[in-house]
Amino acid sequence: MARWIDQSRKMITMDCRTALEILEVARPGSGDLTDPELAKAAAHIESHAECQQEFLRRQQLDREIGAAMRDVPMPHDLSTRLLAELAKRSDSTDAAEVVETVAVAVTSAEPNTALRRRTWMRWVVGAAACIAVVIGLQFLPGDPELIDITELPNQVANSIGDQNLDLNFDKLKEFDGSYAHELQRDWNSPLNELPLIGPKSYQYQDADGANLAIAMYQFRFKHRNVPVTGYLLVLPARLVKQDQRPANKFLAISSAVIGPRMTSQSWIRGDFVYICVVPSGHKNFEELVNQLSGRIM
Amino acid sequence: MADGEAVPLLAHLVEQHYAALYCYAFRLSGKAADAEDVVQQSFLTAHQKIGQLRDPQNGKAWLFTIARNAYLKSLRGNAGTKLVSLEQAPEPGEECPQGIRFDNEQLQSVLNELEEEFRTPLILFYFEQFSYKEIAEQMDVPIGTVMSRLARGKTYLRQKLASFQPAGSQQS
Repeated sequence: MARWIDQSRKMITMDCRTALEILEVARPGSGDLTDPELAKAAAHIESHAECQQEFLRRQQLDREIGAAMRDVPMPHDLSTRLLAELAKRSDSTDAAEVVETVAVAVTSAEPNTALRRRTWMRWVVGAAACIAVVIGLQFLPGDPELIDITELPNQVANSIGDQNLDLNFDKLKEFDGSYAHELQRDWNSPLNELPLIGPKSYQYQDADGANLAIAMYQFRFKHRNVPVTGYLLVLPARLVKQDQRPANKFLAISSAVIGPRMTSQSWIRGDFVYICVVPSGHKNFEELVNQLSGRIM
Repeated sequence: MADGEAVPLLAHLVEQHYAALYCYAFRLSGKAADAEDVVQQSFLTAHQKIGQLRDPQNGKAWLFTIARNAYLKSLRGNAGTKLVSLEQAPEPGEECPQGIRFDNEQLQSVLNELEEEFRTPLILFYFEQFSYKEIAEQMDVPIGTVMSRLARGKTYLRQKLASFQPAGSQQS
């Protein structure tokens, strides 16, 4: 059992079979091949074309198995039921408070600060409500309310109309630069195979009809040799509803929102919120994550 | 940790990781109802032991370890079906067949055949969220053992998935 593993630390020569066995633990698209434990095997297969072909075949199958493995239907309202159960068992907190806490906690990378933030947020919400009452009708028409980012991806998909979210991007207006922003350096790297085109202006319209131009980029990639078009929106975090500010997690499959027409995921970095939208179910999104992983963060 | 601090932290963990944890539990158990029980039990255990979580950044790995233990506990006293041990299986090394097509049900049926000690590293590997070193930590086994189990498990998985192909549909 595990003949090659016992030998691996003192191995002087390596054959293709041993190299391939060692590399079974390398995740496709990850930086695993630079792991010192795997580096020798990785160097070996680079020098053997047949061995390399076999490795690539295995990695391709690994991608497909991985995508299928993560494709699990999620029960309805599971998180709500879990939170309710926790609230029931808690000595000091009722269910509503727990749910409220979650909404605040996800805005923070430091969960222990959640209670302090909640107090602060209550103050802000209270103050905002008072100001709104005082200002009343004097509120300037045309100033958008804070952006509802749970609705934004749907709005984008609806405005594009096309089932594959493919639109004539060139025809959109250039982004007017009403706010300066920067892209995540890694996505914008010249080494990246998913260059972003843009920015163009996406006209966000709030419930009262007020408009705001949001910076929108387009990117294209292939999934099973089928071209896929996706979009990346960048907007100032200060314009996003406080309780909707996402976590600081770049393209995390676990927090993707899967809709009937598209899958979206948002994350926060510095002063900006990024929203990535790709068409149809989560498989396109997973493929995007696969293709970007290893190059990002 | 006082309940007033523990509950918000736990609620944060639920929000961040419940979906990944459910997927893991589903692949381990093969059944939606069992997976939900495992996830619920995991968070209840996490509530009781939240004081042991020194760094919330490690919350995910910590929850996955709890979920695996909850799953193993649920198996106790359960005769179950005969599982395939890969300890005596042939050494891995065959060529990977091309053009393998399989569906979710077939994938799960192969996982269900495996002993837990081979199934768990396979699932964690394919989730692509943990390195093999982290998998070793979660399973509390040496890294070499995880490497060996993954090599055997993946070879078995490939062979079984290839066996689902209609005759003549595979290229090698």
